[in-house]
Amino acid sequence: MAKSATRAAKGPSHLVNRASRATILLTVAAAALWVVAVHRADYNKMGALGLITVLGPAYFLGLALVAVAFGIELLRTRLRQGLLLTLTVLLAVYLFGTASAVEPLAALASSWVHAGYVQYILVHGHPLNNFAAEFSWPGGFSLGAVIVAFAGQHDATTLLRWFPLAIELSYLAPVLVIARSSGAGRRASWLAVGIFYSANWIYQDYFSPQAINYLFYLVMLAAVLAAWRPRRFDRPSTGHIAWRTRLADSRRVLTLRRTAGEDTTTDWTSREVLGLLGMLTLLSLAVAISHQLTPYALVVALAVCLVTRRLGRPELIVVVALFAAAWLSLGASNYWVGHLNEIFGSVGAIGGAFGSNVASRVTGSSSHLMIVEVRILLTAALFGLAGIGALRRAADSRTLEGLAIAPFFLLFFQNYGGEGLLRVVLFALPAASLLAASAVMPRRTGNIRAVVPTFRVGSYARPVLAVASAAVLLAFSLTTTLVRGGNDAYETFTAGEGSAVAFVYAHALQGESIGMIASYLPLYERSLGAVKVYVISDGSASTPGEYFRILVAHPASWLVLSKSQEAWGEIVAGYPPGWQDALERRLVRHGYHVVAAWPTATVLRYVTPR
Amino acid sequence: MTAPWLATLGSFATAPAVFVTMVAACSLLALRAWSATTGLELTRQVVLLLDGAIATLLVLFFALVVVRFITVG
Repeated sequence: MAKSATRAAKGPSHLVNRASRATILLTVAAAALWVVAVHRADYNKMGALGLITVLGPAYFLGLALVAVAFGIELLRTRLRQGLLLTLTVLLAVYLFGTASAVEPLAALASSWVHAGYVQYILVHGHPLNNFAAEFSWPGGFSLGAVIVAFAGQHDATTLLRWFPLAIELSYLAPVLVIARSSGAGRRASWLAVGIFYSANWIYQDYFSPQAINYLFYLVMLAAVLAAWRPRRFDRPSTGHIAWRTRLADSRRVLTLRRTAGEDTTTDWTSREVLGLLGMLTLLSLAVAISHQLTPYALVVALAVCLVTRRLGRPELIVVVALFAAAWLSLGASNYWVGHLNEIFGSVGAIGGAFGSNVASRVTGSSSHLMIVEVRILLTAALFGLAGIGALRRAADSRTLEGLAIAPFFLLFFQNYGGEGLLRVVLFALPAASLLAASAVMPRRTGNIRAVVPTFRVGSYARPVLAVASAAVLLAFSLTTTLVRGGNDAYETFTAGEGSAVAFVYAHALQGESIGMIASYLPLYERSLGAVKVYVISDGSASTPGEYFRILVAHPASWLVLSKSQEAWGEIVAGYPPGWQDALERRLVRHGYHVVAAWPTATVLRYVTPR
Repeated sequence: MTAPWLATLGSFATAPAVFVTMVAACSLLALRAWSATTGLELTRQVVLLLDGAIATLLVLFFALVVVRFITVG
């Protein structure tokens, strides 16, 4: 009777604490299940829905165990930071390491293109002028060349395959700092880190300047949020706050005092702040010469931090803007001379931006449509949850709300070739994750009171919140697994396709051209500028018949047909199965000869008829 | 055909002019940040002079960038 009385007195929190003794076992089991899952995955059986079609029950069970363990650990009386960190890393391995482990070569043709840019700088010591827009911002590629040379590698292709996991793990430190400095609360901060990874379907972590510059973006944001805190303003500690009072307080945003950074405070010494400003200045210079969009995202984010009392020095914003504009004007003139419309043509065309970013992507086969629609739903769910969190949480400043919304203003100026919305969601992701976590575990005290009154879940709050946290993480993780790998049927490459490309590079002479139907080949990492690459579907042609006519009228010296292009044609373009074989048979009768073949790729050579 | 006044302005909007304006503005911004961070007390006149110089350089910088876009682009 004494034991049961003691147990009853401990209450439902005791349930969570007892369960958390098992979380170490759950973590170990989840890690083992991942190893089993990747060993059993057969890449050759990949279907139209991509990576998820080759993942067995072990993967999903392991992911569920990670989510459950995370939820239990999160609601322990005393947080075990080490175990939460381990679970976060394991979550990242599941979401970003599985594709690298299962797929034979690095995915995404763009990563191979960027390896080619790095290779060119490694060999020649400078970028190739007038070749591509990205080469006008060569900072990231130069950094890649330095790393490749340092590592004693021949080229950057060895970095490609595991780069997504490596760069996502590098995001962990700044994201943790952002979360802890955001004022969201300890438990909500950890949940937010989990949501940050589990909702990151955006796939901008392949070998690219965006991935590296996103790290710089997170580091700058983390440094600013860690250094400065908002000064508290006078507010009654209890009682209802009228909407008029809230509106009156929000007008302080536009005062000179606020924009001068005087509404912030810091515990750092002046030396530390100066050192920080110096390093952030260097970092913003690196960002300005490495990426077209990130500097402007930084300007917007820092401006939000300033007006929400989280940045003490407004000069930093001006310096970032100056560097970005100066590089665009001076260093990237190769890009915009004669192409100003590409930079400024979409200014104000917000409808067009949404059209090219959303509407134009909702095409293709039913499986592809489903993937695109689920991406839209996942993003809407994240921001919906963030909206609830914004209403439920008390705070010392509305920085998170500003950081979640402000990146959308970038779309007003640039649709970024139809990828603007993707990048906007990426930049808003840390803040949106924190707000989404606040929907589950809102902070109850702060200078700014919650809009929606708090409600108590009752004495079973901890178990309920543990279940809610695990459910949110699992739902996002499963959806991200589906949509992130949803294009893998045509965006990943077999060893045969890699061999076909290597064959062509070994035999193509300077001045010759390498043709492909769609840009889904691991091409470009060698012979940049020496051999022309010819993507037939990039022009006005849109059917296999039109491709045939173009290839006969304007032959490519070499033509590579492959499994990934075949899959693209069926899934996205809606061509009938076997369209590529039919095209090959027609081409063989019109001057093209098969010179090499693998089960998943064929190389044809054009010989001028006598 | 470029308007004569723009062509004249364009002859000033050279790459070195843009670069020098940027460096000058950054230097004054650094001075402003340093003085504020170290708590250096500046008279109101000095603050106004500093802010005025920064504002002028920023306007000049962005004007040069725009003119360069128009004349070179």
